[in-house]
Amino acid sequence: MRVAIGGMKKPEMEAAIKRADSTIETVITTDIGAVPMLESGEVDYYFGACESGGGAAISILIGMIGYGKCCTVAKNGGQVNPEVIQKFIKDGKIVFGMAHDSIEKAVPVLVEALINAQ
Amino acid sequence: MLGELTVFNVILVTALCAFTAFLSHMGMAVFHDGLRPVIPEFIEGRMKRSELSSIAFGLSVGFIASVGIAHTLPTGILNPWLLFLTTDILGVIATKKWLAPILGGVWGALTITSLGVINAALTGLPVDLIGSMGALSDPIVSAFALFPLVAIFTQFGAKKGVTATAITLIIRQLVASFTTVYPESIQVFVGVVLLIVFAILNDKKNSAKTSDDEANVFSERTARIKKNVIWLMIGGALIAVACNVGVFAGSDVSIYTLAKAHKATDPAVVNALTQQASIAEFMRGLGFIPLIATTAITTGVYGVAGLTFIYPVGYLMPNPVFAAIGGAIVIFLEVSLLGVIGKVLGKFPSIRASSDNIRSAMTTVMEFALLIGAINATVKMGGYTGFFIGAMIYFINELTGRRIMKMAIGPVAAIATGIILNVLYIVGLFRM
Repeated sequence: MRVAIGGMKKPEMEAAIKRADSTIETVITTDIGAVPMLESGEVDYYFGACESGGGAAISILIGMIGYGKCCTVAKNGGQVNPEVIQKFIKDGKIVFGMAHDSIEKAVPVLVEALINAQ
Repeated sequence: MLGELTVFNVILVTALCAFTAFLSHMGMAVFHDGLRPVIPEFIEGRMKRSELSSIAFGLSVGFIASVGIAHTLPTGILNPWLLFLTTDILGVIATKKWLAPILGGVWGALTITSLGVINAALTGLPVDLIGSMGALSDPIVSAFALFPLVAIFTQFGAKKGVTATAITLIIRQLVASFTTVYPESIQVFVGVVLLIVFAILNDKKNSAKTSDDEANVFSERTARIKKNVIWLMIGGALIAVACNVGVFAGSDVSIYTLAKAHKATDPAVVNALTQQASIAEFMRGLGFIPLIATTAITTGVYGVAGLTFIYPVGYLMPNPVFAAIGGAIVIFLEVSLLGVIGKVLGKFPSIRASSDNIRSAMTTVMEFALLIGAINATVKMGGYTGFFIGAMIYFINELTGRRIMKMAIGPVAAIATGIILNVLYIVGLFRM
């Protein structure tokens, strides 16, 4: 599995992904930088963090990849719900935004759900 | 005295919120960067208004309740999260064009009048809550000045980070020892210069590749924003006036410093603090250009406050009339330059990467400053009884899933501690 990382707190995001599953390949880039990677299949997914989880993290990707492929897995102050995340993956979402406060909580759940869906 | 509950201020905030709700309803501008790309889905008919409304509400409600309230209660100054995130939602919910400004206006009138009532209630308490909030803002200017160094560590690693820290410390101490200039201003300047130097050196090493596709996307929707420029300029003028009269501040990096400026009586101190706040807000604006500009250009929907340079212009102008003119001109210039900004950003992806790191670094230093300031405020209010309560509120939030975001927990803990101390005082369990 290959994941592009953009948005805020990228080192924390990469560390959280590696902790969840050290075999996942990660690429640190920007939201705009990730668009061609997703389009060419160079990476499978995009993880991004921002203040709210639905703003800067994924806004460019909503605009360039399409709203239907983007979702927010952890809003600020909100809880991480594994069932909602599983449904997102089933619906074909490949761009995952989260509040930067929630990286530690959301990434393990998201990674587990992605692995199970494969 | 600035920031008071005058008839002018009530009318101003009501008009401002009515207008920003209208901008949101028309899809011309929204404040939330994440709502911007969803608006075209609605305008182009792929989404229903009810769905857009629930997205707008879901994106922002946590922010309004935590950050929006947390920065305004201790300072008595309104902020964009409280006002504009709400008018984003109200504008989207409104089913008719005329309904949006009414809903927005009601919200504006409600917030500014209830702010006066709440402030009066908090000021009258036996344990001084509002007076201790000065301690909350003390570390902010110094902590904010560290953001370039934190960004350098994140982007370029420990070696360059340590070098930059040493250089900045030496220059800071030279300035502090031999001049009367505020060392923090120089610190930010030196740090930002080092950040740019490292970025250029880095770009030269791995020559950046450009993509024509991106440039095309950028230039496509700019026309829609240019068409709306008059409306956006009116919004900019209203916001700049609100900043100028002291009833509104643009962000966490300036709001606490401005609150201090409002309390100060010496005009020299007021000027110095206002300048500090303006520099911080300007630097924050620079960090946000790539984000706001790219979301605007790719969606055709602008930011309510544009690239946020209207905030420092509003603070610095000598009177509300000049502020209005300045705010309108700034928005006009920003919109005129959007195409150029888009091309530059398309050519240099490293700028965009720096922007991500700068925004992360600013959040990191502000969370740190607000937490330390909040703990200082609790100690000021109630000694180590205050510390006990404030620290436990922080830990409870951390250990129960962090429902209140890190940026807001400091001020929230400080205010809650003040209220609890007052309750303890009234029942005879706390003596000053």
